[in-house]
Amino acid sequence: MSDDEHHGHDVHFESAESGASLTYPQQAGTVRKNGFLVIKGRPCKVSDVSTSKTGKHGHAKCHFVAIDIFSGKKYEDLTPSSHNCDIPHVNRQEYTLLDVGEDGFLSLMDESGNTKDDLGLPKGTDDADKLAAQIQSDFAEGKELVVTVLKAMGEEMINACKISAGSEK
Amino acid sequence: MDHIQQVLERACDQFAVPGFQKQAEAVLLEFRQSHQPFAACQHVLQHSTHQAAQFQAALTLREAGLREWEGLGPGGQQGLRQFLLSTLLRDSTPHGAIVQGALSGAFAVLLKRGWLAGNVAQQQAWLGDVEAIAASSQHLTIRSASIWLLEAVITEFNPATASAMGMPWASHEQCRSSLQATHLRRVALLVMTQARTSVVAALQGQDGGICRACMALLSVILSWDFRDPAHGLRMSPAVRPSDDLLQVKPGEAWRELLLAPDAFDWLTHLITTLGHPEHQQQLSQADSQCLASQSRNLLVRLCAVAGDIFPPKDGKQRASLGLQCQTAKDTYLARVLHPVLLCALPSQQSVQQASCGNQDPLLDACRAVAAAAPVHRANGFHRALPPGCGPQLPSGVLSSIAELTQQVLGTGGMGDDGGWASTATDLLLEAWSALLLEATMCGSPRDADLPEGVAEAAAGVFHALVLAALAEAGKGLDEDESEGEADAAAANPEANVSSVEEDRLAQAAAIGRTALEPCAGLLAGLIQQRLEALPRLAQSGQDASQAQEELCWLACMGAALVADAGDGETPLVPNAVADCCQAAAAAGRPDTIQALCQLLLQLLTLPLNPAASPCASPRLMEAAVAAAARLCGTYLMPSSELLGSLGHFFGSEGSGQQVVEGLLSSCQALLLRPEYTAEGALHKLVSGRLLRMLALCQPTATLLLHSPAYQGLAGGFAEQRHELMSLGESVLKRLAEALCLVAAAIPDFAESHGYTTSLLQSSAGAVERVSQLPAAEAGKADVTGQATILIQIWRGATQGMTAYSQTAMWALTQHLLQPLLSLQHIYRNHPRATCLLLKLAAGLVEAHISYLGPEDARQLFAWVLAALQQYARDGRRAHAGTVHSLNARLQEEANAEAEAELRALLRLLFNVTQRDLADFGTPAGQPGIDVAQMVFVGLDIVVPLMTTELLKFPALSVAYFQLLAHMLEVYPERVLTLPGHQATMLMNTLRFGLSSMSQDVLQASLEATAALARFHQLHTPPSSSTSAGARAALSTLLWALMQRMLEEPSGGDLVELAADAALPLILFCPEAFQTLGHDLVSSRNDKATESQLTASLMALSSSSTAISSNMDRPSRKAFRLSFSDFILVARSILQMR
Repeated sequence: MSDDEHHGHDVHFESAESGASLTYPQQAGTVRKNGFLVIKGRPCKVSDVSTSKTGKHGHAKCHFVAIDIFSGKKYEDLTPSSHNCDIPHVNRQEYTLLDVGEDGFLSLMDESGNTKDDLGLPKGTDDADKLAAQIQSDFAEGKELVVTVLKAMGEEMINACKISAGSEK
Repeated sequence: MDHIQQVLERACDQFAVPGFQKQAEAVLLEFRQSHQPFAACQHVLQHSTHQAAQFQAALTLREAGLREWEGLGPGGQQGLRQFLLSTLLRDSTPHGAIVQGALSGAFAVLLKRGWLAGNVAQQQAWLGDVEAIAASSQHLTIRSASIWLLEAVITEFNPATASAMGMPWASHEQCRSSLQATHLRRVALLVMTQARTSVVAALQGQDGGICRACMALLSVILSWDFRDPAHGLRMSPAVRPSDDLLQVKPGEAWRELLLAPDAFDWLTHLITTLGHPEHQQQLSQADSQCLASQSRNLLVRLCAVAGDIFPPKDGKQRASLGLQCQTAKDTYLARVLHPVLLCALPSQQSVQQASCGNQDPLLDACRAVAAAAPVHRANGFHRALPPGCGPQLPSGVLSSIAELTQQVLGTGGMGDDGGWASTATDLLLEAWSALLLEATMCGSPRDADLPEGVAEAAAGVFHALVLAALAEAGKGLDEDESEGEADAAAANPEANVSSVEEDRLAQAAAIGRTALEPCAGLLAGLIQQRLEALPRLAQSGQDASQAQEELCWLACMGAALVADAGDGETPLVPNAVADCCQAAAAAGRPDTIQALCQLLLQLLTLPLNPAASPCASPRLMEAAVAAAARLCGTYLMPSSELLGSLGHFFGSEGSGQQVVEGLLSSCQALLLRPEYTAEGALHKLVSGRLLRMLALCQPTATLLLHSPAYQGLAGGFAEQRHELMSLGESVLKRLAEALCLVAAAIPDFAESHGYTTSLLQSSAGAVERVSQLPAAEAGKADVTGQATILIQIWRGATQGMTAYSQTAMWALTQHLLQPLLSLQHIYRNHPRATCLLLKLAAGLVEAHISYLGPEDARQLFAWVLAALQQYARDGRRAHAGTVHSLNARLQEEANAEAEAELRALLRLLFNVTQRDLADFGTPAGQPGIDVAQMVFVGLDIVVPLMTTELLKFPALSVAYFQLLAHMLEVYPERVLTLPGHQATMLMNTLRFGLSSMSQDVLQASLEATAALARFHQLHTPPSSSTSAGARAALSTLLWALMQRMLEEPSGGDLVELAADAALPLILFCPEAFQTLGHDLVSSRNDKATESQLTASLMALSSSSTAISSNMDRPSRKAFRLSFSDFILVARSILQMR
C-alpha cells in the first residue's frame, strides 16, 4: 500500500473534537502486537505484526493485521518500518448503567457521579447485537452493570459489559 | 465363532471404504476392547484367510493379553503363548509378513509381561525353546520365523524401542538387564553362526530369508542399550551428547565374539559378491538390493561399536591379555569400514549414481564414516587404512573420504532442501569434525598430532565447502526474507543465524582449523575481493546483492573459524589459532589470522565509508556485528600474551583502544544513521550483543569509559536525546542494560555511583513527571508510549545491575517506588503498560532482594504488598469470566494479555520467596519479614483471577503450581492456618492440579501434595484441633490423586512421584483409604475381578502399614514398588469393559 493512501484520511474526523489531535505519529517499526494503529482511517487494534525485508538486502517492512476496534472488521497494511504511522488516542472509561431507554439510548454514570445520556446500545455487527442483547437481558434481570465505553477518533461505543462486583454477592 | 469371523472380515473390508470407515472403526474397536476375546481371535487366526482380519485378531490378542493378564491365570497365560508360538512356527504358515510381525510382537510383549510377573525361569525356558528351534530346525521357513521372533523379543526388551505397558521405568530396566545378562550374547552367537552357514544359499536366493533375518536381528542387537550390569547408570562422560546416542558399547564380554578375525568374513563376502555385476544375475534385483542394503545397515551399526570391547590402552593390562591395543581396534575398523566404504568408491561414480536416484550406497557409506569417526578419530582411520592399503584406496582412507566430501559438496551439498546431497553433507561434515576433534578442541592436549596428509585433505574439503556455500548464497537473492526466518529471529533476536546453520559453521570451522593458515588466507582473500568490489558496484548503481550475501556468509564463517561461540562462557583462544600465530611470529611472516580479523572488523566500518555505504545493507551489517562481537569476545584485550601480532592488534598495549573506538563509531552509526532507522533486528544486535559484550568484559569496559564515542552515547542516553529515544522500547531496554553494566568497571566506588546516577536520573525524573500527570493527559497514546519506554529502560537497567552498582541503583529505585504505584493506577486500563510494570516489579525484587538489609527489605516488601493491593483494587481482570466483549477475537487477545499479567504477578511472588535464601534472621526487637504471608496475600489476589480460559495457557498453570509446590514444601504448616476460604481455595486448586493432563502441572501438584501430607503425617498429632480439618482436606486430595492415577495414563516417573504423595496420605487418612478401596471394589460386578482388586488393595495397604511412621528412604522405596504394582493391576481392571 502506498504511503499517500495511508495519510490524509483523518481530515473528516479532525473537526469532531475541539482542536486536540486525534492521533499522533509513530514509527511503524515500533508498533507492537496489541497496540493501536490507524488503517484506512479506522482506529484498529493490531492483532499481528510481521517484519520482512524487500529482497535479502533491502530495508525492513512491517506487515500489520489489525481489527477495527468498533466494527471488528479486519484490515491489513504493509509499510516500510521507518515510516510513520498514525496511532489513535484510545480512551476507555467505565460507567455504571443506570437505565436502558426504550429508544435504545442508555443512561450512564461515571465514578464521580456525572451522567451521560448520549450513547446508544452497540449495534451494527453480530457481536455488537449480541452484546446489546446481553446488556438488555442482564439489566432486565436487575443486575448492576458496568459498561466500558471505548472512545477513539471522535467515535465512541460500548464495547464490553460486566456485572458489577457488588451485585453478585 | 464363525459369526464373529464374518463380522470382523466385513468390518475390515468396510474400513477401506471411506463412507463406512467410521462404522467399521467402531466395530473393530469394540472387538479389541471386548472382554476375553481370546477364543475368537484364535478362531480367526486359524480359519480366516482374510489378512486384515488376521492382523486385527493378532493385535487384539496382544492388547487383551496385556490387559487381562492377571485374570488369565497361569494356565491361560501358558495356553496363549503356546498358541502364538505354534501358529508362528508352523511349516507352512498361511500368514503374510505383516500378520507374522504382529504375532511376533504379541508373543514378545506377553513374554515380557510374564518376565515382570516374576516367573523368570519359565520365561527363559520359553525363550530357550525358540533359540533351539532357530538353531536346529530342518525347515528353513521355521528357522527364519523363529529368528524374526527373536528379533521382536529383543526389540521389545530394549527400553528404547519397548512398547508402553504402563510399567514404571524400573521394570523395563529390570527386563533389559536380565535379558542382557542371560540371553543377548548367546542369541548373537547363534545368529552369527546361522548367518555364516546361510550366506552362500542367500546369494542364490535359496536360504528362505534366513540371512536377511539374521542381519536384521544383529542390527537390533547392536542397537541395544548396553550398560554395565554393575552400574545402573552410565558413568563415562560423553564428549558430546550425540556421540553417546550413536555409539554402541557392548563391553569386554563381547570382545571375543565381535573382534574375532573371522567374525564378519561372511558379511564382507556377501557385500563384495553382491557388488559384482555377474552375481546379480542369480538373484532378482529387488532381492539383491534388499540384501545389500541390509548388510550395509549392519556394517554401519558395527562401525559404531565402541568402549571397553577394545583392549585397554594401558600397557600392563594389554600385555596380560596378550593383545595389541591399537592393532585390535584398527584391524576391526578396517574390517567393518572397508566394505561399506567401497560401495561409495570411486566417489565420482557413486555421486553420479546418487544423482540418478540410487543414493543409498553413498548415504550408508557416509553413515558408516560418521558412526566410526567419534570412536576412532583421524589417527585410527589412518592407521587402519593407510595409503596404499588397497587398490581402491591408493592414497589412504582419509583422502578418499575427503575426495568423496568434495564431490558431494560440488553437487549442491550446502543447500538445505533435505535432498540426498544435503543429508550426505551433514553426515560427512559431522564425521570430519569428529575425526579432527582432538586436534582442534580448545584446551585439549596438543600431543594428538594428526597423521600426515590430513591437513591437506582438510584444506581441500574446506575449499570445496566455501565454494559450495558461496554458490548457494547466490540463490534466491531477490526473494523477500521469509516470515519463518523473521520468526526465528524474533524468538532469539541476539542470534542472527539459526542453530542448524550455526552447527554447520562450527563443523566447517573444525575442518578449517586443521589447516588454519591456508583456510584463513582463503577467506581473507575472498572477503578482500568483495570489499574492493562493493564501492565499484555502489558507484555504478549495479545490484550488489550477490556480493553482499556472499560477504554475509564469509563474515559468519570467518568469525566461526577463528573464535568459538562461547555460549555464556568465556571463550578461549582456539589452540590452532594460538599455534598458527606463534608459528607466523617465529618465522617472521605476516599473520594471516590477523589479516582475516582486520578484514572482518573492516566490514563493520562500511557505513562510515561514503563510497561503500550504499552497499552496507542492514542484513550485511547484522552479520558483521555478530562476527565482530564474536571476535572481540575472544581476542579483545586477551589476558595471555602468546598471540604475537594478533595479540598486539587487539591488546591494550597495542591498537586495542583504536579497535574499541572504531567499533563504537560503527555502533553509533548503526543506531543513529537515518538509513538504519527502524531496523529493529540490527539495533537489537548492536545493543544486546556487541555493546553488551564490550560492557561485560572489564578491560574493554574500562576503555569504553575513556572513549569519546561512548561518552557521547551514554551522555545522549542520560539526557534522553530524541534520536536515541526513538529507537524502540526493546532496543532501549538492551541499551540500558549494556550501559549500566559498564558501572562495574569503574574502580572508584563514588565515581561508579555517580556514573549510574547520572545515567538514570533523568529517566527516573521522567517517570515521576508522568506519574503526576492528570489521568486524561497520561492516558494519551503518545504519553503511554513514553511511559512504556521508561518502564522498559528501568527493566533493562535493573537487569544490568551488578553487586557493585546495587547501592546506586537502590538509591534511585527508592525514589521510584511511589511514582511506579501511581503509574500502575493511571495505566490500569492499559494492558501492556500494566504487564510491563508488573514485570519491572518482579525484576526489581529479583535484583535487589538478596542485597537489602532488613530496613530496606521491609520497604521493598511494603511496596510489593501495596502494588498487589493496588492491582486488586483497580479491579484489573476482576470477573474476567463474566465480561462480555464486543469481539471474539479481541476477547481472545484480552485473555492473552490477562495471562501475561498473571504470569508476571506469579513471577513477582516467586521472586519474593527468594528472600528466604538471603535472610538469616532479623535482629532482636525488629519486626521480621513474613515472606509466606506476603505470598499468600498475593495468591489470594491471583487465584480468583485464574479462570478456566486462562488455565489453558500452559505456562501460566505450570508457573502457578510450581509456586504452590514451593510454598507447600517450605511452609506446609501455614496453609491450613490460613483463613478458611483461602485454605479451601488453595486445596481446590491443588485438586485441580492433580487432575491435570499436563505432565509439568501434575508433577508440581504431586510434589506439593507429598510435601503437605508428609508434614501432617509427621507433625500433626491425631488428637489436635487442626487434625480433623487437615484430615478432611487431605482425604479429598487422596481421592483426586487415586482417580487421576487410575483413570488416565501417566509415565513411570509420575507413578513414583504419586507413590511418594500417596504414602503419607494413606498413613494420615487410613479411613479415607478404606472407603476408597471399598468403593473401588464394589464398583465391579464381576466376582473374579473383585477378588483381584481386593487382593491388590490388601497388598498395598499391608505394605503401607508395615512402614515405620518416620517414612525413611528404604521404606518409601518399598512402597513405590507396591504402589506401582497396584496401579498397574487396578488400572487394567478398570479399563476392562
